[in-house]
Amino acid sequence: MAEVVVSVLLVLGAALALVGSWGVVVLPRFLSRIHGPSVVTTGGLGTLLLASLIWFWFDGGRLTGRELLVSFVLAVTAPITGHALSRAWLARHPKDPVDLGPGRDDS
Amino acid sequence: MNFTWLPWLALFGALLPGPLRRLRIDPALVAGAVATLGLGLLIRTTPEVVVLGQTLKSSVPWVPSLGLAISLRLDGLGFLMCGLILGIGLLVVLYARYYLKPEEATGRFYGPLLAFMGAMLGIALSENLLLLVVFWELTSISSFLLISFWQFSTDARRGARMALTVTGLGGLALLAGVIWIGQIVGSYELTQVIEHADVLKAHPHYPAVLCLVLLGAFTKSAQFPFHFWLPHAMAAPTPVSAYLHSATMVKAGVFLLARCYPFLAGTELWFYLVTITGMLTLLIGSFLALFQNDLKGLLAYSTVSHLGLITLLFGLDTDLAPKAALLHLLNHAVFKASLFMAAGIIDHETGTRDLRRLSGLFKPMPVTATLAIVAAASMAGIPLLNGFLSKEMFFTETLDADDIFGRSWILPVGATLASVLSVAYSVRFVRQAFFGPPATGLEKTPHEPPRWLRVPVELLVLLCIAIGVAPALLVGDLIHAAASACVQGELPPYTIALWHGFNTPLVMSIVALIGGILVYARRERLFRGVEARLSVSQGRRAFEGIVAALVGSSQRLERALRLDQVTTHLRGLLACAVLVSAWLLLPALARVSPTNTSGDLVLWVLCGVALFALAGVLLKSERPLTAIVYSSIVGLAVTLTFAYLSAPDLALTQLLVELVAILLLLAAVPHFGLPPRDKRSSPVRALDGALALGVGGAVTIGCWLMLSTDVASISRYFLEKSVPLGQGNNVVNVILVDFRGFDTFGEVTVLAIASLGILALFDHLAQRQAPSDLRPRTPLFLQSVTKLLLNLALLTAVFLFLRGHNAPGGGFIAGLTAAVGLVFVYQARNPTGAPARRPASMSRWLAAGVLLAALPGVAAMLFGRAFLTAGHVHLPLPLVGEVHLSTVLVFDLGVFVVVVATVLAILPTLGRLPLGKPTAEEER
Repeated sequence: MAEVVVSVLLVLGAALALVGSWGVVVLPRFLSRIHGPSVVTTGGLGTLLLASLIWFWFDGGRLTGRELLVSFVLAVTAPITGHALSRAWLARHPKDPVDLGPGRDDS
Repeated sequence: MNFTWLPWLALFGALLPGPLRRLRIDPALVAGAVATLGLGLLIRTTPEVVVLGQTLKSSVPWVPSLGLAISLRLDGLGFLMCGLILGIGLLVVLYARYYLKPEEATGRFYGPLLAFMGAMLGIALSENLLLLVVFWELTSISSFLLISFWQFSTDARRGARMALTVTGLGGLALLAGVIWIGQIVGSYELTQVIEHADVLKAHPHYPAVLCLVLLGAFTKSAQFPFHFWLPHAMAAPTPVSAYLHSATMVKAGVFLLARCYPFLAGTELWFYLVTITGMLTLLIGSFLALFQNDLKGLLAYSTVSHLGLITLLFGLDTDLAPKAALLHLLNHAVFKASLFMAAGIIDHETGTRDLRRLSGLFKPMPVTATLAIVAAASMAGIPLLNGFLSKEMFFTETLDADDIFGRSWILPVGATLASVLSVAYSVRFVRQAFFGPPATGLEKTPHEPPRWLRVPVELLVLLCIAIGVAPALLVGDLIHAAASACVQGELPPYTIALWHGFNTPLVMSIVALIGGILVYARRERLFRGVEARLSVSQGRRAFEGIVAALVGSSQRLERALRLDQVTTHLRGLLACAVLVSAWLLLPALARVSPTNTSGDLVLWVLCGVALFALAGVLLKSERPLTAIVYSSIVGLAVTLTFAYLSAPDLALTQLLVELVAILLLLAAVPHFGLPPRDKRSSPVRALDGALALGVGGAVTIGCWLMLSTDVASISRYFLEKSVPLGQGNNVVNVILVDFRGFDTFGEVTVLAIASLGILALFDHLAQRQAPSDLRPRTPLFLQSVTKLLLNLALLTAVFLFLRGHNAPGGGFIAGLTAAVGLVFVYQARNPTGAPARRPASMSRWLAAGVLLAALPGVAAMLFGRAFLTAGHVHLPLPLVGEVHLSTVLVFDLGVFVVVVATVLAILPTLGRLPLGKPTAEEER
């Protein structure tokens, strides 16, 4: 039973990671692209960590807080990183800070 | 405590003044205490060594396979030298206490002074010739530090460099000569060498050995043509000149002549080489001294000529010549040190040393003037003073000596001529400084110096008079013991007395006196035009010319071979690597039948990712930030490979090192600007391509051979022995800190030294500040979160550190974790502002880390085990249970500290350096 749950979670997590990475590659503007990594870290990795937690709880026989700790750290650092990156981008492109139209495609 | 403690007392005492000064203890007190203690130890041996003429010896093995042992001997000769070193040293310390201003870096002065004292004592007391060379070089280094004490002065730096180069060259020659002697005789111990003196002197290599040893002695004692460094060393503070350049260091060369007398002297080659060099130096030195305008310059050239006198005496083949030489060694030290100190007092009180500006100083400073006049009279050879006695003996010996080039009058005439000049410059010194109209235009009003600044001069002049009046009583036994030790045999009886009857030497002295005064009076007419041509020291011009020619030709060669470009070195290295691998691997390839090595799908994928990223680095190299991102992907692929192959320690290390390396690159790359266009020609590009293919091929073949053959490797040994011998389950860590602990210790030391070098570079660059108004702000969130993460990082670091011995972790990984956390905080708080603290404080942490790493190793030695043997203890702690601790924990802690200090030394400063080239303003 636990194996089914773990397998589903693994696939789900991988899919989320794929979607997030795809977004980083495909989306045109930086401010849209910045959403990609946050999906990967929180959604994708969070799901994978949940899978790991359940696997080691039921099949490995121990319940530790390691995965929760990792999730906590990710949840704290991912938004801050995104924030810092956006601020850096804004500092480099002061002329059009928020341009929702067909914007410049640069890093 | 006996005499064997003397050198170590001073050498280890040299470590005290610096730190003690910070504790507000006067370093001069420390130096004085050491010198006094040493003097006491020496005087205690007077009955045996001086009165009875015995030799005290002691020996401790050091490197038996090289024949090097810490063997010390105290005989009459050593006693004389040590007496000079310690006695005059004590007076110099007293003098320097009142000469140097209180705010000067006295810790940096007395430390090298004591080190020098210890090294000189080592030279005087050495029984082992190799040990003597070690101490010889120590004196060169400590004198370099002392001469360049006033670091802001170009003259001081140049003089120190010149002195170090010349005496260092001599030291190398001496080492070669000593090693040769050891080969011929079979031992480096002085007693053995003296026993085999005949073998040595008859050996066909004797001339070469003699030349090498004499080179060492002549460079140290500033004999012609190596005399030019001594006047330039006068840029040192006067206490240094009084100690080193009159009484001790320059005497080391002639002391060496005395020590080598039993086994090198007595041949015709020695007679000609030493006597002629001495004679030339004697004449040239006294001639040049007459034309110096600098007080200390005059005294310096005078020292050169007196050293030539002593050398000449050692060269002579008469029985009593060594006695005369040693008597003059003593007398010269006494009166010259006092003259230098007097010159220093004049400089201190008037602000100038220029004889053209000084005059009429007798009235404002009568006592000092009288002392200086007495000392100068001793230098000139006036009766009733000690200089007269040794001059008389000198004249006697030149009359008794063999003929040079078949003429018996060359030596006496030369000696008289030199004395004429010596009287002339002494008169000049006295007349121009002290008599005549009062000086005008001086910076300070001259007056008597502070009481204690004059006391050393008073004592020395008193000694001049005492020895001059009652020589046999005061120094008769001492000189006899010293001379006996020098010749290692019996000497004809001779009492040093004031009056030996009205004989030729007395006539020579009278002639010299009258002649000298006449020469001084008529010096303008006699030496018209000479003064102009002597304006720049010929020796210095020659020295700097040689150095410039060497440097210039090296630079031209470098440019011609393109050695100034990194790419040439890289090509050379890679070409060698390819050739050596081909030579080693291709034969093995022929012998091996490759087995099936298909590998895992996962590994193939990871390999593919790494290759893709590498391609990215190469193709995107014009955009550095993108290239860095691609290179980090390579690092991640390697990390995943390690993790997949069950090497958690390696994976952790790779990940953290990757992180730090990326940070380093990010900080450094903005300084490089855009990479330049590829200007290589096609053939060169083809060569580079071939080299790249060669290296890649070699690595591939090597890996393939490793993987496809069944090699019995040493990993099995480590895996089996890790727990029983190293008591740790983490084999990698046990190998690092236990099995191969010495290697790790070496690497940690090298890392610390490299970081110190980088710190030294940064010290210069970091002084350029970024303009403060352009400082960007980092988001507040970032600053807070990094502080939180720092706590987490430090906790993780401690955890990794403590469990390293039995689970993946260890000092290096923990250090990197902690360092990364700290760097984040630094960067988040203040990315481009002024550094919060000077990077130099990291140097203390680096030193602490290396010392910590060495501590358990050395502690093991104290318990009688080999260096770096680990000790284990099982501690039952109340709550935690039984804890197993090992001394390698301290070693690992040292590694931890060094790693953290290295990263903190480099990254924050590198990130804060302002971009762009320094402006002309900043270059200055």
